[in-house]
Amino acid sequence: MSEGGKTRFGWGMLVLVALVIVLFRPVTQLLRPQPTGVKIIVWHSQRGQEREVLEDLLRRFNEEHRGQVYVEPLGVPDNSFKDKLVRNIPRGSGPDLFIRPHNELGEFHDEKILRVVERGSLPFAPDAYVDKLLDGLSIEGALVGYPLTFKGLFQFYNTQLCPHGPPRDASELEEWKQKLPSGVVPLAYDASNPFFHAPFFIGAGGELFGQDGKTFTLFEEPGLKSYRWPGQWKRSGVLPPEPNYNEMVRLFQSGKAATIIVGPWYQPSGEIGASGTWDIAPLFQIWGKPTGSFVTVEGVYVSARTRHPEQAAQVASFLAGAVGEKERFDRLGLPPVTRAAYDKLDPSPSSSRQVAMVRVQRQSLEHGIVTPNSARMAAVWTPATDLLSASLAGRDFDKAVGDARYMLARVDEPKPPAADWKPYGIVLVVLLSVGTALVAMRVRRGVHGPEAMRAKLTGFHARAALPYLLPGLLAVALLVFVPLIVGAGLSLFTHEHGTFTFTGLQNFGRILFPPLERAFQSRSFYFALAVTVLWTLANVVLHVAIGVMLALLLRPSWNRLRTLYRLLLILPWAIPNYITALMWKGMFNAQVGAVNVLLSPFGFEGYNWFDKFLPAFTANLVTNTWLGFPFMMVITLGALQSIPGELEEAAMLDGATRWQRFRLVIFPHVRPALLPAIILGSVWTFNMFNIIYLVSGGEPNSQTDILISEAYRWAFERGQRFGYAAAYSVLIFIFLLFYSRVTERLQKDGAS
Amino acid sequence: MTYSLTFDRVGKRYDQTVVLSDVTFRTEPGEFVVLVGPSGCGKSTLLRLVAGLETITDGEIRAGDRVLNDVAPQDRGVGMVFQSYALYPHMSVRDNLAFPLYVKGVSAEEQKRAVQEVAGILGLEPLLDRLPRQLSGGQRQRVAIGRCLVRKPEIYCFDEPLSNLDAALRAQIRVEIKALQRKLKKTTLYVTHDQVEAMTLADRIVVLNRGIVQQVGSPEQLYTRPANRFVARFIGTPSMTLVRGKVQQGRFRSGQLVVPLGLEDGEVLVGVRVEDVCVLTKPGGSDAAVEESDSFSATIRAVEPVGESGYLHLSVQGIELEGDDSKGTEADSGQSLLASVPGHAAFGYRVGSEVMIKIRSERCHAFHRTTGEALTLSASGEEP
Repeated sequence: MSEGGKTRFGWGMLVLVALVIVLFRPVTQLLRPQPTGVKIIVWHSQRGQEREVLEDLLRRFNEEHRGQVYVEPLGVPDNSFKDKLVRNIPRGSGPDLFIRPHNELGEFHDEKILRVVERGSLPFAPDAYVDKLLDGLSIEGALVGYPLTFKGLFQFYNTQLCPHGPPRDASELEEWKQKLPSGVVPLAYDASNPFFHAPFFIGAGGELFGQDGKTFTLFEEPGLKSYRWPGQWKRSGVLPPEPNYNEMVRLFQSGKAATIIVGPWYQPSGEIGASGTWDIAPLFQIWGKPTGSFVTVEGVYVSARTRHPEQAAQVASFLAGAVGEKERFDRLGLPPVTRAAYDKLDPSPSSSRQVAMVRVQRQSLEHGIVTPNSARMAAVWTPATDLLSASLAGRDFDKAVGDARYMLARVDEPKPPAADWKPYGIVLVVLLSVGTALVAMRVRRGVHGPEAMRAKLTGFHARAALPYLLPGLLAVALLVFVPLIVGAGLSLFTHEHGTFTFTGLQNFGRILFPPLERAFQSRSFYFALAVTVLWTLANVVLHVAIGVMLALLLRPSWNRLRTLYRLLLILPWAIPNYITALMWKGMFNAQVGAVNVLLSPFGFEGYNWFDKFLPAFTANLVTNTWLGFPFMMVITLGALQSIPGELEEAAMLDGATRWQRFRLVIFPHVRPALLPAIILGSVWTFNMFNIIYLVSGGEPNSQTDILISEAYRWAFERGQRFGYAAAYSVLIFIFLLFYSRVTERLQKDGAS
Repeated sequence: MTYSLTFDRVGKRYDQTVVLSDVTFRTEPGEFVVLVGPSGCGKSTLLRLVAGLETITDGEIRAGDRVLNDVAPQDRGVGMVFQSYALYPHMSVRDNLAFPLYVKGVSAEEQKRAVQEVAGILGLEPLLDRLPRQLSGGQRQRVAIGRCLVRKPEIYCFDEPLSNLDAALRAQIRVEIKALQRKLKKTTLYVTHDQVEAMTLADRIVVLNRGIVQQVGSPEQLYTRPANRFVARFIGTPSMTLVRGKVQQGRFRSGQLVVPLGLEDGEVLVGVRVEDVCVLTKPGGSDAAVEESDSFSATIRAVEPVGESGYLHLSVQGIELEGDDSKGTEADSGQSLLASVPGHAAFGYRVGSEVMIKIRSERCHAFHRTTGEALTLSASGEEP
């Protein structure tokens, strides 16, 4: 039979494709020349010159150890580095060595992918290293990596604006403001970012952890007072109105800031300002107390699962040794790790900038803190950012401190106790059997009347249909059902330190029953839900209103200019919406954004769109409206084309006004087409992550976050609370399910 | 109260395209005027100018003494029934009928009364709660008329209202419309391309071709005294046969065809209606049997019995027939001389046989060979 033959052919093709896929890798590997010796793979995410230096070093190592060890570097994108590492090492498919900043070590340790380093195997004696450096690479007293270099904050200053050097103490800043020409600020730094705030916190005497080494003292005196300063400085003109990183760099680069606090990743390019030049200085003191910054140590680590620990340690030791240290300083200007190296530096004050740069970074380390590598540090950033933005926006400080403390406790909250899975198992079994019984009953009764009864899902028809259905079924199962079930399952677990514990419905409990006084604050489920509903409603109303209005305006010329309109419509769609979002974000920039420039006659100059809820929400809304109305417009135009012209003429003769004609004659024709579009559009908008995340970024204090971006933040920005985030997703799913049932009914009513 | 409608050198152009030019005529108050012409002749446009759905580019239209040109459509007191009926599909019949009153803010009470009244006139009571899509074509037509009636306009416009109906229904509604118009006594403009409709409905007919008025007159005038070749061929079914030929000494000849005609010598077009072509030969009879003066012989090419009468398609040796320029539908018009015989007699004629023909010369129409204008015949033709 030809049918059977075709089926066999289909399966044959499938097998062939599978074979090609399976065999592809070994074949390509055969074609590559195989060097001799033990192969060590190094993962890194370095680029440009840094990468060249690394590769040169490894080449050198390979030549010296020809026939014994062969090192192969592999560049892995920075943003997926951690995930790839955590996934591959436990399976034995990861690298032998990897190079990373130290601040993820806590998580790596939790995932058990790090190998302890014997202090004796370090290339230098432990006491030869610069103070604190090895602490950064230690977890619970055990050393887990070889330090390569470190990065700290310091000042670049404009020598024209600061002929006698930059401010030497924070107390001078107000005075500087008076001295400097108008339009120039004394200080630029990203005051909304806790990382850049650290020097002030440290200078104020702040500590991250209390005496016990466990309790956060992030929002306790003496460090607490430092959070007030950014706000005070912004209002007195010491800081510019919109203190964020790009804005700071722009100001300094254009000669509008006397000094900038920044790290070695930034290099002033060319001339600063009109004819100014720049120089380097250590961080100024904080009311007489020298300060440092959070310091990041870059290290090389041996994988816990390497098959050649000895050779891997040999490579690591070489990279972290004297040769590597010198190369990195000479060619990249990176700070050396041994005290001796600093002693050898040119001591004269007129030494090169390269020398100055490593000196100031060492000073930052000396007076600063190696960022704790504990996974708990992930909990710090959100509340600290909140408090800083509250300070900058001039909100009630004491209340903001309360909120920040609460948030810190929330993010850092102990995981719920493990739950007994048995009752859940019983409920699951009961639900599954009831579900199966219902489905079976419906099938037997015939889902859609006698027609379906005849085509029973049994016998020959089913067997013939299966090969046709299979690809689609597989795709749906893999892309829809598996993630759905995994996600729903995940919501019953709590993730901590790389392990998932079954905690039942406690995630939902914590989401749905927060302390009453916090239930209606940003970051609570109810607040986010309210914002999401408002967001969806406002968007859909605007999309429909603008879309319908424009459609009515364009209608007379539709036949002539159809192609043009289609093109204009496709444009917002064809551009990936994250690009659109970034463009709008740029347009809402307080200093250089097009929106403020256009609105400047109305006093919008320098207006910050993102420090209050309403403007930030509006910015999101404007962006998404720009994206959303063309869809409604085209749907409406399509519907309008199907209205016979005589109908409107009849209404005109019947004496209906323009508005009556629209309301009573035209709109009833557009509505049936618009309703499905509205339902679709509202679901899209409900989960419009990109716009929220990229335009307002949830600012201020996550107040403009919608449920989906909240879920994202709980998973990836507030300490990897995957189970908690999954519970959010399940709640979103339930909400939308309910919504779609309601609208389905609405649609049915509308149709009849 | 109704008005006369005056068209004074009315013209309509779209950019360079002239749709109507120099339309001038006047209707009496309460008159039923049918605008007729082939498709694209501008008759619907003229109607839309009256309703205000198009703007007038030249001349003016007056209702009584009031110039309508710049009056808003809804203020003209003009009601219109569209070809597609243009019922609001999402409203019940009741709401459709009430719509003109509703938008004017008439009280619900008043609306209800008016709808009942109109529904009574048109027999729509049982249909009031239905939607237009649940109605038949004829019912929709009546609702459309009803919606027009509710407004009590002074002038009614109908734009090919019967063209979407089947033949039987068309005849029925035609009668209803006529009766309704008699009852309302309102000036009515009615557009159609069907001359039968025009003839049966109209008090007066306006024949349009290519945007120009060809003739205005009663159905009888148009039938018996067409002003030109176009009207002659357009009015009447089957169409008038036009014969090219020469007049010499009071006799028009075209090949074997001969008609005594009171015209000066020269080339003319002569129009003959079917009923004026007399077949002298009896059914089944021999051609030699009859011989009269000014008769001639013809061969039967086809026989069309259509019921109460029958048509013979005759070919006459050497005859020159004028091609059709308006309707061009009948199978071989322009090739045959058409004659009508009583229906029962039609069955007696055999295709291919020869018959003797005589034309009633006193009912012939003559037209100028080039301009197509009607020529006046002097009474010198012989009596049959």
